[in-house]
Amino acid sequence: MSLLARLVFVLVVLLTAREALAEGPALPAAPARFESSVRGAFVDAAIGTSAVGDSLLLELGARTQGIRSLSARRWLFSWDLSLALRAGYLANQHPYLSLAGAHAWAFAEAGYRFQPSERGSPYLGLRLADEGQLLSHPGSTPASFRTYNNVDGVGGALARGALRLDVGASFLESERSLLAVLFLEEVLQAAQVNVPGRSLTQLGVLARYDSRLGPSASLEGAYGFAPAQDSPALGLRDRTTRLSGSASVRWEFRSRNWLGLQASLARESDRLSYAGSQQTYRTANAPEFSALVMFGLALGKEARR
Amino acid sequence: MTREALHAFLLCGVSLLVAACDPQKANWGLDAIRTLRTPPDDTSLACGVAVPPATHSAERNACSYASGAHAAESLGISSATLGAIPIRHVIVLMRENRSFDHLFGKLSERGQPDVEAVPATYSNPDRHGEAVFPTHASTTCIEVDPGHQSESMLRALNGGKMDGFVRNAAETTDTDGHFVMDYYDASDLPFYYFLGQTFAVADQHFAPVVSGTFANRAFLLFGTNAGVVDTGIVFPPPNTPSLLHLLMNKGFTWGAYSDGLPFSGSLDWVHGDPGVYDMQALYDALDRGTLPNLALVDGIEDKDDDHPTADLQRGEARVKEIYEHALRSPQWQRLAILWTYDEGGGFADHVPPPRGCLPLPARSAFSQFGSRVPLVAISPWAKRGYASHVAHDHTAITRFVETLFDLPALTARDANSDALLDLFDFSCGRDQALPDPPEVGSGGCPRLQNAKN
Repeated sequence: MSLLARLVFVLVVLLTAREALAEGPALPAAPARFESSVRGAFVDAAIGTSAVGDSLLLELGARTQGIRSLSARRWLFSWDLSLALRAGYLANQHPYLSLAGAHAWAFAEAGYRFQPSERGSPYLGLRLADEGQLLSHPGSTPASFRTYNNVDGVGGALARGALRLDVGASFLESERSLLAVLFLEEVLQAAQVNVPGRSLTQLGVLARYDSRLGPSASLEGAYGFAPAQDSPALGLRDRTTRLSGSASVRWEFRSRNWLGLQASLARESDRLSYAGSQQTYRTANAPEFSALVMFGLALGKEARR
Repeated sequence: MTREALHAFLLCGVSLLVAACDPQKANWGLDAIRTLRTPPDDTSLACGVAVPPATHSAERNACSYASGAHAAESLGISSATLGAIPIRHVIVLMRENRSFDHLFGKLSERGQPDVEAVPATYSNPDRHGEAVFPTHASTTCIEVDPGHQSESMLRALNGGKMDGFVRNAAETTDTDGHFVMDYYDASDLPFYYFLGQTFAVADQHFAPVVSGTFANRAFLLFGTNAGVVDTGIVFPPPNTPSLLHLLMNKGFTWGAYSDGLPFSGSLDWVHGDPGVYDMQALYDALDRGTLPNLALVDGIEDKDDDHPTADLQRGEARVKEIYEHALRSPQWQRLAILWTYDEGGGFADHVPPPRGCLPLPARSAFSQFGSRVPLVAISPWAKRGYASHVAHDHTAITRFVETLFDLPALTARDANSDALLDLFDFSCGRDQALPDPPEVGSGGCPRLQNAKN
């Protein structure tokens, strides 16, 4: 089954979820503020496979993540801020390459609900996101990764930022929220050891379900393309595209501790065009996959009653 | 609602997991080779091409040329002259893991007096500080494989002192490491020595990088290691410009031939991938005169590819088989076989490797050549009994192919490389008769002998 077919399947399931939400009870007369959030220390473990090898990474850090309505449900503000120590192994060589360092990621999105008094409303959101990582092999510097098998995407220094525009619908009740949006995103990524810096324009779809009690989840799929990279000496133009999808589930317990699961899948393809010969080659990297499980220990909030 | 939504999301997660578990690998986008036909050879190409010695060596040594440079520019030889070279088919017979001293340590005493001999004083200290001198090998199937990835080879080369091979082997095998000082003679490998004596041998040919198979083979195909340093799991990105692309861009063909893993596994290719064939297909192509313009030939890992623990005599038999088909081929007059080894495999060699050019100066880390390895040009156009002392690495093979087919250099490494042209003589009136080759060696591997008995 092609990646596209898989993503279509995911979308079908997403629409099923939306249908289920539409059958919910009517809104109360007076809108109440909605908030679903977690805050505290966390530990997570992620397995991944990519063109640079399989990885097992553990993190210990602090995170605040959530969504909240403001101004009588006219605005929805969502955020995620995490700082973590990260360590693990990358199987890019025999036996493995141990890695340790720090990882931080954050996003903040402000969204406007055009019909705040209605359960369903058109939605327009703007998101800023960034991610930074410095993951080195103990006893060596990140610069020395040039003398190791490629670690790009897993180890070394990683810096990227993104600006995203969301357009879609918000379905909001006192106990839950569903966001379904199409987005246009520009991602800027700094050069890594072997991969040059680049920008990536992405078009995608996001569905995000949050509940005040119990589960929250999100699904996202995107198609991205980078500006053509020219190698005049070889008469070569390389156009990169990227297809990606991710799913995540978070379950907040009565104690306010939480458990999170996340999976993602992506594949990059290139179209190599040689000017002189008019020859074109379509290549594709090995798929990238990751799965993560996280446990969070709530801090600073009382347990639910 | 909550339960249904949760089920839907969990289902999505499971579907992603299933999708990810579907085994897939990189796609190199080279399917066009399945239908591309080898262009007919230009019948006007014949002897009488006077190729002057390459000039511009100072510029090449200064790494003045960059990706895109053509051989006419970097060698200082006119395009017309290079275009008249009658070789239109190249077989790169890249074997595994033997250093020059290890395989050809006695070639200077066996018909190639110009080849650099192993100095009588050359030795390596063992773990106890005792000097270990080169010794005639007692077996053609060494049972252990010395460490030969980057860390090991840096230790073995020891900054150019070339005295860390024994200690490295001792640290990476359960032995005293003395075996890496072993050498073979014509009595062990008569056909290999015949090739070295009869044709043109390069005694200053080095692996492109101080490491193992994958990185060194990457230099041949891409002019760079393409992010690969040690052999194992990481492969070059499939969008890396390659010699295969350049050939196809001009309508020339290539094929990867092996009964094992093509390119010794360095690209993660298998049989069924475009352009990959078995050895019988190579023999058929030679017999019928349908060889592609570039044939990359590899053995079966640890069986007949010369990589320890393979029996060298079995590998020698394989090479002789290829040689005999080549001699009978209607394409023999258009053919050059470049027989070499991807890297030294941790076996000792006494010549400190020089430096080459950084492939992509802004991003590359590797300019240091690895161990010296044998390279023999086998062709009706190869100089007979000749020893070249020009220093180069596998990108000289890349440059040779680029020269024949007027292709641009992939990176600064091949752009500034010599193109092996001093191994050839394209003049008329040369004696085309070749001596009969000897039988391949036998009985050198007690393990296999015992198995037979």
